[in-house]
Amino acid sequence: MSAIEGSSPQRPKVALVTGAAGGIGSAIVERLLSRDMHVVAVDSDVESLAELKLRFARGRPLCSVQADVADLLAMRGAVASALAAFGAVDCAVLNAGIEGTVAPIDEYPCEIFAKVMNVNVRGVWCGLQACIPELEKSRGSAVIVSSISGVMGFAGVSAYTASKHAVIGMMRSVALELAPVGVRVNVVAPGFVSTRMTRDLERHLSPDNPQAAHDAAVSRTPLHRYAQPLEIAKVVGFLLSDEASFCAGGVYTIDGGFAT
Amino acid sequence: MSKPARRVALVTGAANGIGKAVVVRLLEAGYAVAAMDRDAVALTDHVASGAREDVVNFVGDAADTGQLADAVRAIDARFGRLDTAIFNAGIAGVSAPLKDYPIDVFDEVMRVNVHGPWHGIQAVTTLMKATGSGSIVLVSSINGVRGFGTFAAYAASKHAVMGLAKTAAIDLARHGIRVNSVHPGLVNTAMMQQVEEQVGAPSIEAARAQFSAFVPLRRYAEPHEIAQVIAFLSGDEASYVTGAGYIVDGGFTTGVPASA
Repeated sequence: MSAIEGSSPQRPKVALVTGAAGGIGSAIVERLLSRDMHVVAVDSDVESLAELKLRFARGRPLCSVQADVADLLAMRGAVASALAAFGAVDCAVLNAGIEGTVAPIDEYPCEIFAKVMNVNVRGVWCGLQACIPELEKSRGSAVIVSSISGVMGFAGVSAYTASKHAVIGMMRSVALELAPVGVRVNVVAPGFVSTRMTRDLERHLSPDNPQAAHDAAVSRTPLHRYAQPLEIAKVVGFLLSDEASFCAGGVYTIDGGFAT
Repeated sequence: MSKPARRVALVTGAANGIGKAVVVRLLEAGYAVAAMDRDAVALTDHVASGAREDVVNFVGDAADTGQLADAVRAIDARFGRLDTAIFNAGIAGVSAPLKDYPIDVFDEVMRVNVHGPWHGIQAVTTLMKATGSGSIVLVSSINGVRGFGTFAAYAASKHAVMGLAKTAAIDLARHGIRVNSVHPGLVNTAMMQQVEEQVGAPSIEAARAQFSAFVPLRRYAEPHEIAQVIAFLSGDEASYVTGAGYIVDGGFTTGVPASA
């Protein structure tokens, strides 16, 4: 386990992860625990959080907080819980996100657009606002989970694409603000990953034959397969670690070559 | 009623700065223009307004679905067609580190800059679909491709606009509608002056000199230089350009300029 420069050398790093009960989120929790970090798992879904605790919590330093990421007060509360449980927040993983639906922009329901922007953009904003004071104290690191939809467009997912572009813009600004105090902020941009969200997207794209949507995505991915969630979690873990000490303000695609 | 051959444009944020220059430019190019702005005084004081039969002003909020729908209905009634829409209305928000940034200002920046063009696209596509062609230009910023410290809300919003343009381009291609984004750099406008006032330089002139040093062309753009590119993308000269982000920044984002 790596020590944090400027703080007590023996203390384990504490990471707050949002969307922690989802596909990529739970893989991140698992990965960070396996790297001896203490983890504060934030999710809006109480039942999924309970399952997460059953999977990982036995004797492990995991605490869970039910919160809506787009609620600033709730996120400040999550940070307070982290401080109460582990005494610090060294790392923040802003991962919570929803996919919305699939429809061309001229037919896309406004209320779903608003919901996607609220969770995916305002949620990251509130998570950052809540965590930054602690990250500054610990000279920590944050990773925002965007998507290849943050760097390119896909048919029918205008809300998701706008939201995932937005968090890259947010990261680029906040990375510049926090670099002088030694806090690194980066984005990961996963491609197609085997998760509940991607399966739902396949069903939206091809209701009669989701497998066809899956096969089309695989065939367009140079590595010719989906990622496993752990493959995303490994890169997140790397960016949070001191191995990535000069990585700041970057967009790291993990897409099997899709956006290449 | 105008001659059927006259092309018709909608411009939001039309009263000042880039929007005003776009109105002037499109009128020069023979378009009839529907100009929309919240600022009634500036809009009615417009060089191009008054008794002209080829200009119609709408005082209204370009992020409000109802007011956008009213404007489009009025365009249909008055001109019977809509060839191009320029969603230019935008606000800069305030200059503050994300940690301290007022969340109500963040919400307003996202509402005007992202929800605005989203609702705008939905409002105009029906009319454009009727003719089987059209062009939409979204005015983003170099903040849509780069970050600048203390403007995280603006950066998030302008990145989102680029994502919106890409997906809308894909979704609306089947209707013959092209969608592009324009990314102005430093432009001599009232909005830029607001930014200059907030960055802590001893004077506006000093802020300008400081900013201009980052620009290979060593100067700000005049609004008409942005309007020229927008007019180009609006017209048939750009018939194969869709989903593109045209940077108009005097070289700002190209790299590091030679020292003066």
